[in-house]
This record gives sequence, C-alpha cells and structure tokens, in this order.
Amino acid sequence: MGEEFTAKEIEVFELLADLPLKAERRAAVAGILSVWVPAANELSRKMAEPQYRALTPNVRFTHPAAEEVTER
Amino acid sequence: MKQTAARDLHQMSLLEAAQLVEKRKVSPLELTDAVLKQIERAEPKINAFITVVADQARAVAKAHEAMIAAGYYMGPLHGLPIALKDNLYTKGIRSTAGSKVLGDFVPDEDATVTARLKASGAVIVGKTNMHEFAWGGTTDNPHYGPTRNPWNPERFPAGSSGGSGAAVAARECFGAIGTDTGGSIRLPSAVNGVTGIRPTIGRVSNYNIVPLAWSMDTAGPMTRTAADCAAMFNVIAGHDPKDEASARVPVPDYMAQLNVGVGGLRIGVVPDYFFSHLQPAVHDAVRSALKVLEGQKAQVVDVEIANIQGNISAQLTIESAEPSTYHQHWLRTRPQDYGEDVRVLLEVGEMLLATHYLQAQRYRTLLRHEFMEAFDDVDVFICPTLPFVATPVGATSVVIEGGKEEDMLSAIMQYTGVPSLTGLPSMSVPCGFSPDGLPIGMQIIGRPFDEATIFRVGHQFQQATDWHSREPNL
Repeated sequence: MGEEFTAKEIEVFELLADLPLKAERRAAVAGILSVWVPAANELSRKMAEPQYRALTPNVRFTHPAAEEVTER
Repeated sequence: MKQTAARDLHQMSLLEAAQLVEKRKVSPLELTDAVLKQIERAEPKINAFITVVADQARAVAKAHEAMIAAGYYMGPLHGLPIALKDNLYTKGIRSTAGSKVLGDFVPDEDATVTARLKASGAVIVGKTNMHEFAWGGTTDNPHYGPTRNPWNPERFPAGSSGGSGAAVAARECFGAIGTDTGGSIRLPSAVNGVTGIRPTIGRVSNYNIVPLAWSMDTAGPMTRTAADCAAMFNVIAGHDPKDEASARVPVPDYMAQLNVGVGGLRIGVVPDYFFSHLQPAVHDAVRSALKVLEGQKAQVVDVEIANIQGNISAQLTIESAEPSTYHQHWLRTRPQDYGEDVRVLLEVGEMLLATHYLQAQRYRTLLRHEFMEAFDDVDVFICPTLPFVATPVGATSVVIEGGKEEDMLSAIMQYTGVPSLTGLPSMSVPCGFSPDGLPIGMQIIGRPFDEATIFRVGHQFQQATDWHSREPNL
C-alpha cells in the first residue's frame, strides 16, 4: 500500500467500522488518513522494537507512585 | 494597548478585586455590574460567550453581598464574577459543549468544578464559547460563531477554550475555567495574553464535564496572573469520589510558595525540540524570558529527551480514537448536526487501528519515563506554548517557517502535546508580543502534582515583567 489512501480503500475502513460514508466524504477522510496513518505506523514500528517490550499502555495516570509526588 | 492610570473595576486582577471585597470597599454587585457592562461592550467584537446569565449573576451577587455584610467572608473568590467553558455542566443553565447536538441540554446537576466554585462564593456570569466538543484548536464554531482575539479581532483566539481565553483578556470576567486535552487551556492562554494552567491528570475532577479524550482530559483556571490562577486552583483542586480517575493526593495551599524566589531553581530546556521549527518572534520572546529567570538566579540546563519526536502522532491518534468512541452513537444518528471539521475528525478516528492506539499509549509510558528521569536534574521545563502567534480567523493552515503551509491541528500541538501525553502539569504565561502586537506565551512544565512550583515560577516571572498586565484596546 502507498502513502495515499484512495476512496476505494476508505470503503474497506467503513466496513470495518460499520460506518457507511457518502462518496463525497471519502476524499476528506482519505486526505487526513494519508498523513496520520504513516506517522502512526512509524510510531508503532518504534514501539514494537524489543527494547520497549516491557512498556505497558498508560491509559490513565491514577494513584501516582509515592516518589512522583513532591514532598512538602 | 491601554496603560490606564485609574482603572475601572473590571480591569483589576482577581486578587486586587478580592482585597477590595474583603475590606468591603467594593461589593460583589458592583463587580458583577462592571463585568456585565464590559461584556455588553466587548461581545459584539469578540463573541466569547455562548450564554450570559446576567439576572442570575446579579441575584447571586446580591446574596453574597448580604453574607459579607453579615460577616461571612468565604475567601478570595467570594463575590468575584467568573466564567465557565460551555462543556462544564451548570445546573439549570444550558451547557452545549459548543455543539448543536447538545444545543438544548440543561443539566440537572453541576460539574464538580462548578459546584466547588459556587461553594467558594464565585459568581458565574456565563458560559464561554469553545471549539465544538473541544475537538479542535481554533474556536471557529459553526453553531455559535467564531470567537475573535481581543488583541486583533481578525485573528483567532486558539482553542478549544478560546472563549475563556478571550473573555479573560477582554476583562469580561476575573477568571474563567477551561478544559485541556492537547493544549486547550494553554493555547488560548498564550495567544490571548493570559495565564492558564493544565493540571496534573487526576488533580482536578472531570466529573460532569463533557469529555473529549478520557485519558488526557483536564480542567483548569485561566486568569490574568499566576497568583490569580493559584487562588482559583486552591478551590477546584482535590480528590472527587465521583470521578474514578481523581487522585488521592494531598492538596497544598498553592498561594503559600508564590513569594519564594527562583534562585537555584533548575530550568530544563530540550534545545533541539523546544527551539526548532518556530516563528522567530516566539523564539526570541521565550529565550528572553529564560534570561529574565536567569537574572533571578535560576539556572537553565540543556536536557536530552531521546524519544520526544513522535509525540504529535501519538497525540493525534489518542485524541481522535477516544472522541470517536464517545461520539459513536451520535455520529450515526445525527451526523449532519456536527460541523464539517469535527465530523471528519470523528470519522477518521473510527478508522485507526487498535494497535495504533495502544502503541501510542505505550509511547506515553516511554515519554513519561524519560521526563521523570530528567526531573532528577531539573525542577521545571520551559518552552514556547505554541510555535506561532495568532492566525487569521478561519485559517486551517499556518506558516511557521520557510513559507511552507502546515496543517493547523498538527502544528498547534508541537509543544502542548508533551505534557498532555505525559500527564504533567503545565502553565502558559505571557512572555512577549510579536512585532504586530500579538501575545506570545511560554509553557512551564512541572513534576506530577507539583503545580505549586509552576505557580511560583510564573509569579516570580510576573514580578519582573509586565506582559501579563497589558490590556487590549477594544
């Protein structure tokens, strides 16, 4: 797959997301995805490298470790 | 810009006005009337509010006046007119989140932040304009009209809390609440010349605030000075059992350390990232600000953050996937009720992979580890808040350098995305103006739950400079 998404390829995403789009909307979606997805893939390649295997997703920062709280 | 000798009531800072209220030299009703008069004067030019509740504000102000006269003084916010971004629930007052979808939504309960401000005696004068559902950085709102920058109404106020930033700058309130996911407090603070803090995630309750991206959303004050900001933060910070992400961390008095100097404080900069790819006026203003702090005996330290590149992609992935999840029902049942820019972003967010999202969240862990390690050697970081000054209203791209147009959304988060991803607190403070008179902000980033040090640095900087006290001609 190249860097540019086509309207036809967006139809596949629509199926996956169960989000049918009218034809005139596909160009705008494709334009953004063509920029964002290569960048996201580059980040994914980095994060898939062995040295980062132990890292877990930090979806919420709750209950901070004691050492992270500034002592007063 | 105005340099007034004898100022009107609405031109005072929050703490200046509070002192007069405490001494009973000025009444809450006088302050409220002054602010409402300024709203009438400024709104046709800047459109900072979606809803103004003048009658209710006057009634509340009168009640507080009676309390104070009877000897019940509740603290620095007592009787002070403030504004709330329209994604905060306000009981009995329409809360649209800048949307048509919630255009008729009148909550039957307050947000925790709203409730805490009311309990402190604040007088709510209205709900401020914002980027629709907070998903964007321009406040070019298709349903309620664009908010305009008080320093130049042809320029944008940034966003998404653009109404709050413009209202504070235009002296339409003594302080406002904004919300910040990827920069939405700090960006409008910078381009409107005001001071605004994004707290540590978990420090301020998000309960009953319409979400953008759950894992990065925060709420915080926007004011004229760092000291005002600390006074408002004292009221809204703290654990809230209604918010499951709220942190159980003790809350200090954020005013207590303001007057402690910055001598010996170590300020980190990441030269290759913080001072590359930005407009010259922004570069020069922030570098000059660092010199001011060095003049106060702070020490500037170069730091390397090995994996800082990539943060904008992570930010965009998370900030699109999470809203698309929240809006999934409405996007299928009421797509025509969204503005075009938000609608396409919500559609895009449905088409990213779960692996993209989770790798972005893992990247947050990596970036946070690197910053936490760097905090062994520095006390705060300082960088520009955004790499450019206010762009024309309606612009969707920006030129930063080399005449090349760049997408606004990616460009605007160059610096604010870092604290958003790492969960670190950060505050934008005015630090200069461009040659054409547009405000510039610098961002102070602190350790988790160490907002007190950020307020101290901001306050000490404002003791040595007057950027924060300048006022737009309206």
